[in-house]
Amino acid sequence: MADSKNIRNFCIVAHIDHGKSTLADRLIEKTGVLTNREMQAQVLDNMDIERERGITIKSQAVRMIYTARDGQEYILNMIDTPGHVDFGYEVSRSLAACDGAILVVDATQGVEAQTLANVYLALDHDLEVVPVINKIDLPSAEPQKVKDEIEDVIGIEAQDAPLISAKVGTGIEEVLEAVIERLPAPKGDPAEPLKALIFDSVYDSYKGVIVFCRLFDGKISRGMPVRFMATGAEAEVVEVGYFGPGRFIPCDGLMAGEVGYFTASIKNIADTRVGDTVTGAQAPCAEALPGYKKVMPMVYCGIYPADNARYGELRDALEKLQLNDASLFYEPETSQALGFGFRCGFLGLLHLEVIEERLQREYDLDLVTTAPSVVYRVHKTDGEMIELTNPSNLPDPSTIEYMEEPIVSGEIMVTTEYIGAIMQLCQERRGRYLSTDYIEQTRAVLKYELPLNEIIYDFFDALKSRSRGYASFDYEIKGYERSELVKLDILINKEQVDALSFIVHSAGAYERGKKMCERLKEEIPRHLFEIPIQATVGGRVIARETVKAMRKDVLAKCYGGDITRKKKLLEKQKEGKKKMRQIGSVEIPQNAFLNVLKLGDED
Amino acid sequence: MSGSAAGPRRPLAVYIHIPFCIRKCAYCDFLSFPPAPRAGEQEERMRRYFDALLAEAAAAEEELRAYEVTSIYFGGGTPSLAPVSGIAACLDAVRAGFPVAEDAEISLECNPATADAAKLKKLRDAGVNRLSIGVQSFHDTELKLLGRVHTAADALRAYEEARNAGFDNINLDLMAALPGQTADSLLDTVGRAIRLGPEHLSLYSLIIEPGTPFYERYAGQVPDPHYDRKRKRPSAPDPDTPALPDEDEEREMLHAARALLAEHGYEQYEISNYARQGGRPVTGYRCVQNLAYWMRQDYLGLGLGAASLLDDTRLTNTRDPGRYAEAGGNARGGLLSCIREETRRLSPQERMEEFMFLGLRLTEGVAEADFRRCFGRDIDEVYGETLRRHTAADLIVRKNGRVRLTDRGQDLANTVMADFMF
Repeated sequence: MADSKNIRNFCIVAHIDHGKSTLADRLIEKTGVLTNREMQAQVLDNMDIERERGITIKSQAVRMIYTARDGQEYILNMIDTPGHVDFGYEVSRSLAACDGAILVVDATQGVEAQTLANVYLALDHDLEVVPVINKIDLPSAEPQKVKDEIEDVIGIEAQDAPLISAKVGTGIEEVLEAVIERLPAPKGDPAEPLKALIFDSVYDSYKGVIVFCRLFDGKISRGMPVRFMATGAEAEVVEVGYFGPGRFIPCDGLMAGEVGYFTASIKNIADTRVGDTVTGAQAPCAEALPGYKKVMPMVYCGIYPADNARYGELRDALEKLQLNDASLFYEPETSQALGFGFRCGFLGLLHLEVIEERLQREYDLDLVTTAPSVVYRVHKTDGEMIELTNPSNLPDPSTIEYMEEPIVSGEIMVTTEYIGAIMQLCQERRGRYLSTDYIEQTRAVLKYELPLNEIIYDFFDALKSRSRGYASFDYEIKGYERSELVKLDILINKEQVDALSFIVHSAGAYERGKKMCERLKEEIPRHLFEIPIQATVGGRVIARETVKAMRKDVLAKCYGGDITRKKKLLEKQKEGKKKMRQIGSVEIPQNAFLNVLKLGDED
Repeated sequence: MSGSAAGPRRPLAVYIHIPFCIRKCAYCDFLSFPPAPRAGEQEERMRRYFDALLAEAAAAEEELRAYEVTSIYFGGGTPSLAPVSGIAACLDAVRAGFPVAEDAEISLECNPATADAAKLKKLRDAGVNRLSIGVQSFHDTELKLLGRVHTAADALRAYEEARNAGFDNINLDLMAALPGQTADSLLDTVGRAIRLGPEHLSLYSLIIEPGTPFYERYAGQVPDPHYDRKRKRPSAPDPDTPALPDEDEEREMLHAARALLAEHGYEQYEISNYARQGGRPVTGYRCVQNLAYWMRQDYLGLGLGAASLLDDTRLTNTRDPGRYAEAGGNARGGLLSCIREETRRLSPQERMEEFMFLGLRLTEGVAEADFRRCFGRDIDEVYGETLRRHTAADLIVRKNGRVRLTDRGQDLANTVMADFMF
């Protein structure tokens, strides 16, 4: 156990792609805990999806030992944070375990929307912030300009900011020195009763739940009985340790100011809630830490196993994922078209995609996902208000007084040449223009209020494509507003398909209905009869397509008695039929739902 | 039935593959090769190939004691391109190895550009008694587009010379759904064929097969029978790649051609085949060889890539010409195992599937009694639900103990047949 004045607990915050993970790798390298051989490409990002997308999703921590220029040895606990706006909640819980933050800004890009969002989050948590200018090796780097920008836009001192290139490895020592000199050592008293914040946890089939925590007061050691204050659960500590790069390193105990983990043979995932406070069972502290604000899911969709027999596996997988992702919500639901599945709630669309991919990759599940929906408020004539997460549950329109939808305040940072294109996009998405602030001559921040349901489909993609990748976007929920919303239903051969219903603004109903019908026409195989596909609003048909009846499906000659090829063709045809979902008398391939639901406004 | 000489011999069809062509047609994905660059080399190739064929025929002889050959069919490639001596040697080898029925049908496929009066006479004299002429179209623009090496005039001349050579059983192969083809041009081709008065006509729809030049040109605009999707159609008409007829046009032209053929006494007996009145007592002018395939009689395929069905086992020869030619040098016993690439003993279920999807190609369909005789089970016990569904949908009719496709069922044959797969 170390003297807390030689401990620094910090995180790195940055806009996506500004080089946070690379810097983390360099810090680990420089502190010598890890040999080059052990270095993975990016040590902190050890999940496949993260690596592919170049983003970090799950918080992780690593402890580094550094001998500073003052000759003293320091313990540096680096807690990784996600970089994406969807994961604001996770950023927040990582920040609560830190005392300071390194702010990485790209010397060629300058301050971006998420730079601001993350820095403000850090300042909200009373963290000291040390700015670092990265990518100075690039020819287009403008370090002085970026320093000025940090001071102007964020309002923190930046003239002494280390100029580094995480990629080439220059200036890394300056960063470490800055962390020691400018970030505070943790406060807290080891003699006080234990008070530790749970900032993450993972499940291990041998050890049970592994709790990641930051100690604010007191000590924790093997054999000590502990209590989880929110749930009241108690357990005896089996193992205590700190985070080596990519592995757990057991030790005798941890004390105030330190970051580490413990296990206590906890089998019940629900006992250890992220954000809860751990204290001693025998000498508990007086009151719990404030913890984190419970975040409400903003985007919902139905997730179904492609093979209904795997419903149980899907449930187990969701339960495991929820353990260290408290923001994931799920409850069972049944769809006439898709069978048994779950209505799941997410922080945003990226969060949804990440969960979907993790279910597919880590749990090897084939999924069918319904159209994402936001939470609408339905005010009924009898005064009752319903929060609607599944469009299928919309009450009879005659009982609805009015509906409200969530609105976000959005900030789009963009170079001036694309302002026109971006304003047009926001206009199309029912955005309400607020202001344009110029950061410098060529860059501006556009402020808009936008309905959340207009940005959950493909807003990010549209933004990127209309600004050639230069625009960055950040948003926060502003509140609910009354809106002219309607439920759009899809009928296939006169049968309503519940999985395809969604809520849409009345002005956009026709366009969307038409597109859905067009796409379905391409995805539904021809049958022996004609299949009408209709989009309806309140029982009125607003768009229609028809899948013509099959006219011809016949083999050519079986040449020279070689029938194997023809046989394979027939077998394939038969196999394909087995994988269809039956809607009334129409058979629809599994992936038709997927393809239709993935429909973006940009096609 | 055993191979004892006392019992009646089982009928056997023999297919002999000749994989040589003057040039590969633009739509063709059959196993065939254009000639070697040097003439001497081409002759040498052919010679080696026929040696291997004869060796294979000799090796097969021992397996096939219990059979009587009822038909022999030279297919290709272009069998008419091969030297008559080679064809004659093959026939001699078959006759030497197996009993051949006196009235056996002996067919040979003929490209109009490769046969003159003298050659046709020699083929007739060698014992070939049925000629299948690859006419495809009587329009030179269509022939050119297909990459055929002959003209409409060549086809007329070949037909006349075949008659003069003594062929009294002639088939003409015709193609529908060609790029740029209209119902009028197809009906004109079919009409001209009818006026020639062949005993048999085959009318196939062009299929755009992967790996062919046509695939490169047309893959994007092939109508997908299973999806009602928009196809790419050329924006500006291009004389070199006129558009494929769409599905409706294709069905319309085929239905019109079928009606015209019926009007002139050509009875459709299979999805793509038509025969004139007359000929043999039972089968008339129907192609005995092809009937064997559809009725699952045993057949022996000789040559590169050739397929056999013997005692409910499907066998396929190697498609590698080098390997096939080399095998000729092996001892008799080793040869067959050396060239047969695939041997698959069919399960009872597979036999039932084949019985249905092959038998339903014939307009008279399958006999319920045959099903019971072959499999010891009632057809309704196995396929009752499928039969009921397709009967209700007007795809199948059941009458006089037979199950057959309706006209609509013929257009949608794959959909029907796929349902008979387990």
